[in-house]
Amino acid sequence: MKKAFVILLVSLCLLPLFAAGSKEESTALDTIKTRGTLRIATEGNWTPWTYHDAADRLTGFDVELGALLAESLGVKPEFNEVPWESILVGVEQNVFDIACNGVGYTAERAEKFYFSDPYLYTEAVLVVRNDNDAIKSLDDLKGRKTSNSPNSTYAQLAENLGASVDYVDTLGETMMMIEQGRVDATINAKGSVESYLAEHPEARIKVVQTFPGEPVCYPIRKGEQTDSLLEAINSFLAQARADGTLTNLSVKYFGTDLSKAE
Amino acid sequence: MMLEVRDVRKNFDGLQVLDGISFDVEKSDVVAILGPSGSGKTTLLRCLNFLEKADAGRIVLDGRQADLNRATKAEIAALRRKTAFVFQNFNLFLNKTVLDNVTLGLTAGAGMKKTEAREIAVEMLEKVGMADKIASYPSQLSGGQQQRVAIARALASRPEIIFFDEPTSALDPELIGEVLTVMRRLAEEGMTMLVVTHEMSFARNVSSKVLFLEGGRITESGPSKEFFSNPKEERTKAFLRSIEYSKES
Amino acid sequence: MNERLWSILVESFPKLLGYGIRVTVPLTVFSFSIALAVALLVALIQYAKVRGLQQICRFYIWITRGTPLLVQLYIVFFGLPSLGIKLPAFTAAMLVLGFNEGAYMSETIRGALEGVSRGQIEAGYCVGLTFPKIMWHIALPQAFRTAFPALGNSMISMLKETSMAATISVMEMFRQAQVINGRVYESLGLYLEVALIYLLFCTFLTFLQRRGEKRLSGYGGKNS
Repeated sequence: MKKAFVILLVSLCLLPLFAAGSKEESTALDTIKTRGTLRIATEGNWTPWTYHDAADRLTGFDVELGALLAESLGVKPEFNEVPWESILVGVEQNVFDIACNGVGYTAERAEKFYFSDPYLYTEAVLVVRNDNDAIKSLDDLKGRKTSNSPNSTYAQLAENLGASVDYVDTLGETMMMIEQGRVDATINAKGSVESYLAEHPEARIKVVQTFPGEPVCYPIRKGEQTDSLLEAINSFLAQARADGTLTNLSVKYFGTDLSKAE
Repeated sequence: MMLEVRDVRKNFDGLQVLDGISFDVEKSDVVAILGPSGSGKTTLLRCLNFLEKADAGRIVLDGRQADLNRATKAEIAALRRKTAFVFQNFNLFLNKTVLDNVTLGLTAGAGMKKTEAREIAVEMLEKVGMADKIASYPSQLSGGQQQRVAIARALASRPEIIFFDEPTSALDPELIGEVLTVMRRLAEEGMTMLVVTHEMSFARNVSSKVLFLEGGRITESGPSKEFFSNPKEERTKAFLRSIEYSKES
Repeated sequence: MNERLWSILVESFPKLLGYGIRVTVPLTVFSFSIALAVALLVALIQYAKVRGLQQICRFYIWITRGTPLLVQLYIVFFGLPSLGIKLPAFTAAMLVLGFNEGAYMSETIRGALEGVSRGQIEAGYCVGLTFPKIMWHIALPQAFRTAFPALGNSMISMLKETSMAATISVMEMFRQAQVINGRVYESLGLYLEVALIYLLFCTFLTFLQRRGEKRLSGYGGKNS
């Protein structure tokens, strides 16, 4: 009994850590300009958003666009390659200023973060094993089994459609689940699936439906100090849209212009 | 003839511990096996009950033959039904009560009913004076008490012959007497016993026959009275003298 | 702490606890049963020095203790299907955890068996018992007493190792925390919360273990 009480006490003592991060006097934008760098969180292993090319240099759609954003603010970009789970937490805790990682907008995420205007509109795909003729669209998913990783926003969609979800850690494992017949399908980002197929042409899967996915926006910390930063980012995006930069980058990395809503 | 032993040999790491042992034991004989340390007395006893595998040798026990080196599991089991063994370190089953120690061989070994086994066990425990401790565990008993329980355990299977391997060597001096008393009573009741011992009083007064083992051979044997009063061999005499000497000191 | 975080924690706690009770605990119990059975068999085979089987047992122990649990899980779940063996996730987790911990436990039991004095075994033979009977009546009960604390530790280890089953798609307590986190992004709070539940389970097991140790503290002692 005593032990349990001590445990409870200790965990309660740790909770204050969740309290909001440090308070600043100046705005975030000012701090960035003074510092001279924009601290960017990115994964570095997600083709074609953020990845290492053959010469092992960090590159990708988000990497290039992020560098342009930093330039527009008059600072240098500082790319921090971290795992997905650390990215949003890092932004929230002011370890990073922004995440350039194809972050999709969701209402739940918007509770915690400011999101910029959308700069890309992703598509999602429904993938099944190549001998599966029973599932042709999202409507066929009811009562079926799908697979995703725990951080995927598409898992929620699958459940809403009446499917159950088995969770594994990587896209590759999701594809294995389909190939081994452990699950019937997966809903996933189109870019990710196309990259996978490019690297694994022998994969016994096929895409049966394509549909609009989430809009991609930049997440930054929520709060008074970041209002001006949000404004600056949005005006950069408006400019990049107007002068064709967004379109050009999109075609370069995705093969098509995804910058416009459908 | 209760037990015929012929030509037992055993080699341990190049040392010939038993070098052709042969002797006979009649029914109701109480044979004391004496000799200097390391002369192979314990090894001999253990070979006779197949606790060690002799290199060679034959025995005939109560009409049943066996080769000490090549006996099958079934032959060994059959012979062990006629024998019992009392160890220097008692070797009681530590997780069983005194009663269960005595009945286990009967119930789990011979398939006897629990009630019948219990009757026999109580009878044997009374014989050794341990009936009041049937619910105790070995860890609660003194050495002398444990050894008496071990003897009751040996008796319960109604053996033809009991092997005693230095039954009092691990006991404190004041506890030796109670065990020797029990053994004496058994002898008087006509039990055939083969006893490796250092207790000269027992050898002299209770045993009917003595075997003197040295260097892996029986160098002298005979009725105990004769052995002690009129030893023939020089080595035997030296041994007896050393016993007397150590007794005096 | 802000309201949002608090309500997330309050909402998720029964969910996580539910998965703990419905998945983590049964997985632990089944895996442990398998491990115990395997450990007993392997320990006895080695103790009795059964020719042929003894070598197989040593090989099994060597392989199982020399490869990471995670790798074993992947081999069984993702790898075996290419040989035509497709096990459901929970079954795969149960078998791998069982055989994995079983290897360690078998060494514990073997050591405990060897700690039972040889003399008692010999006495067993002399009163007419066969090897199986000696094991059952004399050696295993005493070995079990000696091995109990270590076996208890194995069970507690296993409870925590069940979290690895998440990697092969078993929806258990930790994975559930990950899934919730994927939506609400409260890593610290959620993972502390699930850690707390693991801690509660393990503390309870430790308590049972201590009670068991007291009960088993020696024959003829004041607790027997």
